Amino acid sequence: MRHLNAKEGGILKTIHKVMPMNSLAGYIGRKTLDYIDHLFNLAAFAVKLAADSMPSAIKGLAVVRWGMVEQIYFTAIQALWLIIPISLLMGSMILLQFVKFSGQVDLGKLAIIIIIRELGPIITALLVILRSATAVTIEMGYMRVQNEIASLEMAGIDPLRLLAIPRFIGITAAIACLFVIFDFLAIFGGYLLVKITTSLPVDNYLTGIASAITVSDIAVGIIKAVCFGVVISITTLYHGFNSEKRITAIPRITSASAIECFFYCMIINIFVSVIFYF
Amino acid sequence: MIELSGYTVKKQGFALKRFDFAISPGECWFVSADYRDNAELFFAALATLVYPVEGNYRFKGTLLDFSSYKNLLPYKKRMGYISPCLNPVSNRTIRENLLLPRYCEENSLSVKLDKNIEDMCVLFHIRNKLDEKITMVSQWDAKITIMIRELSKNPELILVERPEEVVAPDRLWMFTNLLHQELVSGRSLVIFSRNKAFYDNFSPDGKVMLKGEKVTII
Repeated sequence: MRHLNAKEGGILKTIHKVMPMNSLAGYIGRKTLDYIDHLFNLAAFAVKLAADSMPSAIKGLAVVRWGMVEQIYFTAIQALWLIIPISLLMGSMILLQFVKFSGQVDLGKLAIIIIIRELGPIITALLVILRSATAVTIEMGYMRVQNEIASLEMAGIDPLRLLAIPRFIGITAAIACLFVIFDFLAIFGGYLLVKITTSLPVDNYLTGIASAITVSDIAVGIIKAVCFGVVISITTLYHGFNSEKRITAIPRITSASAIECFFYCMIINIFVSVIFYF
Repeated sequence: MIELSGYTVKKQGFALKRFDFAISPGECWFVSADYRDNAELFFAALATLVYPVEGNYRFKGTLLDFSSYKNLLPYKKRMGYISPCLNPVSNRTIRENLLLPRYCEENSLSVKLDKNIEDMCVLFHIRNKLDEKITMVSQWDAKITIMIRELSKNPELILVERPEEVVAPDRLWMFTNLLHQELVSGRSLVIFSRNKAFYDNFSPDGKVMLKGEKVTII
């Protein structure tokens, strides 16, 4: 069969042949409803997790603290070797580009907008998604497939408290810490790197930042980082805990979880920026 | 001890429909099944790991509320479920796995193993592997960790599913002795095994036959 080209409306006609119009509408409708259902489930999971995270509700706080410290170690400390060079490279790269506009724009203000408000939280979140969030989804999914979660339940242990709460608090705290480290190194480290390795005129860069920075700039960055942490941990844990009990389901939920995390982070990023600056 | 009435459970294409089952303290029941998955489903239903589609579950007269998994945790704690399907937490050591319930209960990480757990570890040759992670020990040792943890709860009902896949053949007799001790002390026992010789060690008070979706009590 010859497919009509795009100019002749080929794509639409082909879709129409494969999937008649009413079933296409049905498909879109079903997908939308599924997604809304998924969002509600995610919200319900978040509420359950938040309620269980209250100190008064946590039975066996010592175990939660133990898991939390481990998670901060895995997500923040072990990620330092990655975040340090990336922040230095980003900081110096941005500064090198800014120097071109020296005298035309306020370099300090521009650096704050790009590094502290936007890039810092997003790059930190991206690194955590790639490095830790995927690992948490795989770990939880594997534990479910292997009935490790069921065995915890049989021991009378609440798996949400033992596994989810430490990861929820740990990942959120880790992202906030990594964000501060990223910003600090991107600004000061980037400056030093450019200053040492080039002869470009960057002397006014730090004083420009110092005079332009406001409390709301720092607050926005921290709020974004914390929100990203909450969203990433909830999404990864939700996917892990609700995985099908098949080993082949794990790659699928891991990829879905990573994409969803990044998508939600982008939405929150815009949302927080709009609230604070417009 | 437990009483299931008009109970229907479904899981991954398998179902057991509208069955009644009750077991009293000190009783020992055998289970025979046409499919292993059917037996697995039956045991998961008794252990409240699979929720009923319909029917009631009473534990010592109390009707169980399946609306939240949290309501079931206190009852699960009173049952010992020994099955090759269950695995200990793989990124923890054997010792940590054995102590997890006490860590939570006593809110401390400095608790030590009880004498009876240590004795069981010696009996099943995992005493010198206590500080090794589950990923570093054999499958047998991992299953034995679960078995010891389940028995150390002092369960009122013990569910034993395919013990030949939980305990290595050369140590199965020790496990049988442990179960005998539990029976003598008034615990209830439900057993499913593919090893006919294992059944010879016990005298049943009743039998459950699982064929397709049908559950027959003899």
